[in-house]
Amino acid sequence: MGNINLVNFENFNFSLKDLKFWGKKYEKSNSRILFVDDQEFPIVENLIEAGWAVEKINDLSNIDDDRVVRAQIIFVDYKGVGKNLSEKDEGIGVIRALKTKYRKSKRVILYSGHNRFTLGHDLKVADNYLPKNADTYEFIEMIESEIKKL
Amino acid sequence: MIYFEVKNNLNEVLATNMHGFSGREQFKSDKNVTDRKNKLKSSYLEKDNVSVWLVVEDETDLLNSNRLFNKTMNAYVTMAHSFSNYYHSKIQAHSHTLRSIQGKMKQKIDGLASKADFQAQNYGESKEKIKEKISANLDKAADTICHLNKRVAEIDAHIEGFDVLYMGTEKTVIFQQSNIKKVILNILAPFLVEFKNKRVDVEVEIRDDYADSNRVPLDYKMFNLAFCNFFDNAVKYTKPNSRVLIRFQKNGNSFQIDITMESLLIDNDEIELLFEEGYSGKHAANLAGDGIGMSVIKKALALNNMKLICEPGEGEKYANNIFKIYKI
Repeated sequence: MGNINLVNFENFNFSLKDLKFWGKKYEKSNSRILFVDDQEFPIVENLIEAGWAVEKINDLSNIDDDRVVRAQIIFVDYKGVGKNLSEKDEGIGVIRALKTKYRKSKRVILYSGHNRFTLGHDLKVADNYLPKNADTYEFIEMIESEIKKL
Repeated sequence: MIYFEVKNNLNEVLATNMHGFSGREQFKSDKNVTDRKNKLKSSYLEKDNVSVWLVVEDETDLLNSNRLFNKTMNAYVTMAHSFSNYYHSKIQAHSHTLRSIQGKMKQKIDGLASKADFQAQNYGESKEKIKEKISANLDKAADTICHLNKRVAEIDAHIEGFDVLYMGTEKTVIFQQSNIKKVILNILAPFLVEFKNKRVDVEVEIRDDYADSNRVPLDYKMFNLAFCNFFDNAVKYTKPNSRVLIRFQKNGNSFQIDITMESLLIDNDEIELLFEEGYSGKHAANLAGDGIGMSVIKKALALNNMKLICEPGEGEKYANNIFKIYKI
């Protein structure tokens, strides 16, 4: 009989990953991206072609929407969305609602045609920011870095 | 005399008449000073992103009454602040639109050929690589060019629209006898893909020979601006699976273009409001739009001596609306 103070790892028949508190690891193959934008942007098509699972909706009236629930990364436009959630705050109102409900389980990114210097404190509401004229590779870089934070 | 100097937070002078004031140097170190001997009073105030420096000279009422002086100072500060905010918001809107259009163009090119595809030792090599991409993706290349054509039209309309709305009405218009059908088809082309996506057929019911023998005087730039904005709205507000019909008729010196479409309901009490800057239709509340397009149409048509009236139809969500554009 061996020393009872030593744990026999060979007989440890469950992985730490199976423990719920460890969380799920996200990568390209199992993550979903949602865009909330009232305009059509080619980035959605480019990301789909690059192999990402992407959905786009013109607006969000309910933060329990299935498409929101299954997404890990959510890009929210600054203007023209969220009219059903907050008439005044638009995109920032949507982001605030998403962050309150889903906290750290989703990464919410503000993207806008506005100059970042004019967004001021609004920038801090989201997890990150990208300008609307960013390159496709900038979007991909940001998505890859953001899913690692989940 | 009242002298003023308004600056932004970058210390740039926005408005001043201070250069006419010979004694300004004496307030260099302290701008909050009363000099009764020389009948001078200076005051400086910063509010958010603007600062106002006011000097009154030989103004007995203002020198003797702090209440009156402070009221005057507040009037200048309020005005400076409002002007600064107004122009700031216009510049912001301008750069927002251009950044968004440029983003769409960049991403569309990205979809056909990435940044890496352009990389080469010289231009000839870069061009060869792009040629290979195009021949392997002919349909996508054509789609990209059509998309870019639309975006260029949007930039054109935006720049011209900005001029018409904010740079005064002193625009020089140049009238040329034009074939209305060719002009409309030119302006319509970039919007066809969006109409197609909504399964909306656009029919220009104007015979070639009729348009050719009934030319009308047009300033192409302004007509283009009006119709770009009109089609942009039509794409948003037409009923999917419907038809837009464009007709034209000329009688002597007068002419009329009728556009009939099944589009979002327009209430009678909002017909005039539709052409006011910033107004979005009651039934268009949840659709994209900043309410600028229709006011640009009105102004651009006026520069063409033309007017647009709307004859709204009846319905629940959509109605058969007729838009009539005629020479004044």
